Amino acid sequence: MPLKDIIQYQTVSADPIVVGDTRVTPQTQTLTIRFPFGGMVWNRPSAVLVERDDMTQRIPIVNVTRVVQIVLFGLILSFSAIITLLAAQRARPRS
Amino acid sequence: MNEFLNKLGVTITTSHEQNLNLIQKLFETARPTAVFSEPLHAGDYTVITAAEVMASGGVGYGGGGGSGPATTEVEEIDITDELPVEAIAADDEEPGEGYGVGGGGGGYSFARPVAAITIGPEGVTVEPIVDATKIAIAMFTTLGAMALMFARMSKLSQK
Repeated sequence: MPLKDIIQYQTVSADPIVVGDTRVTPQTQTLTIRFPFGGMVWNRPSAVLVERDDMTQRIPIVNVTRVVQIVLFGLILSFSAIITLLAAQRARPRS
Repeated sequence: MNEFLNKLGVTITTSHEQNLNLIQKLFETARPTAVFSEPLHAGDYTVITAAEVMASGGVGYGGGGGSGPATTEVEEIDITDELPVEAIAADDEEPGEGYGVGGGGGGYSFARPVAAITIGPEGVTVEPIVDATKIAIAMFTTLGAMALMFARMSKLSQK
């Protein structure tokens, strides 16, 4: 089984929604891991394409909760790195 | 019994095809329709909700086999002679026994709203949907970890 059949990461556009003179096309990013007897799918909204008056605008969809979680995780990592460095510095015998 | 299991979200499958259909249903989550809702119209406004969707699952099978009497080699004999004693004994042995296959499976799925897309006379706006509970849990975990590290650090410096 080729790797591209097992793991796929792609951007998929949904059917456009037309309201008045505005045409909105939602886009998703999909990670699919496929095995013969199982697998995993992670699907998240990535952006909406807005077409209005012959102009196309891409509005990204930000997962605020995920961003905050990643920032807090980064904060823990950097704090623990600083603490470890300080502890190592203090433990070093003074010459 | 089946109705009770269905209420619990348990599905009993009896064939390989049914299992493959279940797996196929899992991969249907990859379609954009699983992420974006149907548009809701209210006056001049149209609202679409967008959700993050994750699903995983799998099925497995067991094996089977059986046992039976060993093959008895019978020498070519003259039918006019009497049958050898071994051949007669083999006919009297009990038939073999076998056992079947078994299997099981499981899965997990979750969906969480991420944003609401509003299409109105002013244009298109994307409003994020914040999960306050998740953020609060993450924040308390961060603060707890930081406090623990700080306490250990000050303990070490006192020694």
